[in-house]
Amino acid sequence: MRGPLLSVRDLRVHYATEVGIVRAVDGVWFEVNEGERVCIVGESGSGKTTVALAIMGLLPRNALVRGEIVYKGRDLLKLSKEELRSIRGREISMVFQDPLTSLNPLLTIGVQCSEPYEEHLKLSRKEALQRAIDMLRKVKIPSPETSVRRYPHTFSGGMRQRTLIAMMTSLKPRLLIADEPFSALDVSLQVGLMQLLSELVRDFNSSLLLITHDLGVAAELCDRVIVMYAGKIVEEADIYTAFERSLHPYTQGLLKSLPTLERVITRSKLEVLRGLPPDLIKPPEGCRFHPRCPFATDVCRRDEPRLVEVERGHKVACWLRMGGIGGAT
Amino acid sequence: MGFGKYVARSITTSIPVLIGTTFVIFSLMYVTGDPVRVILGEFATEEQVARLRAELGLDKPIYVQYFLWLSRVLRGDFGISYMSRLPVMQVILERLPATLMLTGTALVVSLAIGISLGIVAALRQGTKVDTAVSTFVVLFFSMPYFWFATILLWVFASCLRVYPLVGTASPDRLVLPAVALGLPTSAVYAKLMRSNMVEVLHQDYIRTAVAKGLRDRIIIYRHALKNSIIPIVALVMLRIPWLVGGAVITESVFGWPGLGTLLIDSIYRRDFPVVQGICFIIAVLIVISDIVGDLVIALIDPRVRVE
Amino acid sequence: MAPLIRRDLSGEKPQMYEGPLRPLVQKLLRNGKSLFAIVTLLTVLLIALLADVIAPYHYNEQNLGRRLQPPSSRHLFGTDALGRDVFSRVLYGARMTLFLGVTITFFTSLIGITLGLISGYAGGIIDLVVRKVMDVLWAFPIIVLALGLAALLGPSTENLILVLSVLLWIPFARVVRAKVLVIKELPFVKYARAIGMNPVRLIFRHIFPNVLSDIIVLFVLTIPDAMMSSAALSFLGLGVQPPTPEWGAIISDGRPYLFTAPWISAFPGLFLLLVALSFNLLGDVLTDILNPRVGR
Repeated sequence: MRGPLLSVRDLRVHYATEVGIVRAVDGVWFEVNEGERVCIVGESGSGKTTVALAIMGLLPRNALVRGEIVYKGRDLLKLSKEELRSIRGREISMVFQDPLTSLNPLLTIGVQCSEPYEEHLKLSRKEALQRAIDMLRKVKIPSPETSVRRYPHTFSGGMRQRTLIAMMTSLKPRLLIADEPFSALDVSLQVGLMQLLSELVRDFNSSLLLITHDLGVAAELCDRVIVMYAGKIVEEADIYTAFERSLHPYTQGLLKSLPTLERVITRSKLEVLRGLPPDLIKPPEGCRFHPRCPFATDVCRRDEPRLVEVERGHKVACWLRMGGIGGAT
Repeated sequence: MGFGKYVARSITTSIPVLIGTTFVIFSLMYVTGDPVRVILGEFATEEQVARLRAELGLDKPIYVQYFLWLSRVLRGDFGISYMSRLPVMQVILERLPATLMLTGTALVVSLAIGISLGIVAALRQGTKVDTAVSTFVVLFFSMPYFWFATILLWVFASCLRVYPLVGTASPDRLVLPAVALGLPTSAVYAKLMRSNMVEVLHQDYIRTAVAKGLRDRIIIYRHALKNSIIPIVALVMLRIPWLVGGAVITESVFGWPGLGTLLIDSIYRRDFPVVQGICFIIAVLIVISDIVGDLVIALIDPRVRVE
Repeated sequence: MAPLIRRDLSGEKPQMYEGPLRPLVQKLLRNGKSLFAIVTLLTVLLIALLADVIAPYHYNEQNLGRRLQPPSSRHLFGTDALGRDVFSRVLYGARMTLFLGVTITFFTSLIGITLGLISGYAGGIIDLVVRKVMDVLWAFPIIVLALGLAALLGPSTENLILVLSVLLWIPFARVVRAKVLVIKELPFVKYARAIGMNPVRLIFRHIFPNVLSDIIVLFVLTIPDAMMSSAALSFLGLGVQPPTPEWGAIISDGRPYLFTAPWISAFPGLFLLLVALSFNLLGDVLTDILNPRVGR
């Protein structure tokens, strides 16, 4: 193996808006290895979706991007439009959050699912359609032969998301990015979809980059967790370490606000992170989390902590915890 | 499923409008001016007036007259022209194809230009091309179409000497009036197409298409276009009355032998049956185009069929 | 209310309390398009008002020895078939065209707003009837209807105003009605009705101000429409009667001589285009200011 599949180095994404420059992502470094399942966790506005869009090259026009996103030795940010196009959908693919708006309402399922085969494998419509039917069967869409002639609005939410997943994984991408794929759906559907995603990723030998705000989903699907806050990574660890020995106060706060079985039984109060999400145009000085951190000290308010590896595979960006002490359950 | 039902519903909702419109037109003729006196002149005796009135059925109450007229019309009998003494139907049918040619071609011209410009402007949003299209739009939107037609006539018939001034409704004479009528309208379509396209291009399903790695051309023509066009079809339906009205004047400017010139002449000469007949035909044409427009939308957008 | 004056020691002018009008005007003046429009319109207005003073000749001053002359230093836009100075006629025509545009729009807005308010507020049968009337009227070419009415009533300026006022009200009614329907459901209106407030007073104090910005924009955008329609009807001979100059009528005057004396038809149309363009630009800018859309 030659190294990580994907390597993100010092990624910065700033949006130029009428009210100012929004620093959505401000210096992010991480890697995804082959076959790995990594999860980026954070609240709305943490920059996690922006990272995903940056990798896919789907950022809007007012986005200023700097840094490197190296995939198989090539910097995606420096590729031409054509080169990017051939990678998208084929080697790196993305599943989006809302399956209703993400599917074109005026085209049949068949057409939309055939497109990846037609474009990247140069198959004819007939052949592509056949492959699409097979793929739909694989994601357990009932009667795929007739379903391909239907339109998205005639499908239920769960089926739509399955269709979307089928569409975007049809070419067995090396890296699949999933941006909150279950958030728009009923909780009852989530389990089935998570299993589906897990199976597909395993069968196709793909790497998974899952974006979510739900630590429970992360625990279910991923090997490693990256926690983002206000455009920066605050902690990174494998999933067990994250749950048992998290160091950063934000991560700990997230964990404490999870309704676990134990907490439900003991009826203990869920602890909530106090404060509001930060202003990304003018982020707080020093550590961006300090206004909401119960342990903030002077150095936290002054200087920004760097992401430091405290034990193997476990990194944290916090003045108080870089020694590896202060971990909690 | 829904298609046939959709068509039927479209037709049934149009019928009251058709009846309403034709009734209004019918009544207008009798609101002012007594056609009998117009025909007979000032020196007619009361007896002559009464006789002609009874002959023409003008002494009955207006709604009775309307139903009588309507029942005759539905049988294809539009009455006799006061002036030429020919059946109105015949007179109208002589001229109808010319007007249809003009209006149809103008519509095609306006859509072709309008939609293309709209797409180009949307794809090159914010650039000089976009500004140029905007300028074109606002200029032609404010353009007095009868003046534009007149100037075009002058340029091509007098300066360039390529336009034959007299003649029948032939294709080579068709181009200029069609452009004169179609170009100002295209501005409206260009503007709408541009804003639709810009909005559509920001939609999630376009993002999905890009994420699939599809070519730009396919994204624009297969994904974006269909979604952008629906409001245009609706707008076309709304603008048909304007198009017809514009055709009337354009025909007049270019001497195009269609219903428009006939209408103007008949109005001047108080030839009511002809005027009524033309108005009826116009109303029918408009209703038909409305229905066709609804059908087109149903063809494009599967979501409307479900109800 | 006494103006709030802040004295600044650095010698700047004292600031006065501003009403809502000032920022609007400032925005209009700052935008290139609306600036152009306002300047043009003011110029044309001046021309219309001062036509007597500016015009070198009277609009009906005929000189048969100088018929159909091309533009020259004596006659800037040339002369027409009766030897009249086209430039002067165009200047005087500004008066008529502007007058028609504004007057027709004024009357038509009154009709439309009233019907819209009544229809929206009353609902039920009244609303249904008004809506059906609007549908029927809207479905038919205005020009044809106007032609017919004008022909029947007899061609004259007064009839022109009457006919067009009666045909162009529909957009006003629609806009007002839609707004009223929305506002009607708002809590504060329901409370007002519950305490038995007089409906007329209700309409004027609560509903009307909310619709105002829409009406203003529509008014500005209807003026060119009214001008164009009156010009079209006059073009066909069914509007303003000779010798009164109106741009549409002058264009029509030039038709028989289009090839020999194109200047007669050309110039009034240019002016018409310019004025309509200005109103439309102004209306566009106003729409953007008063109803800002998120994202373009």
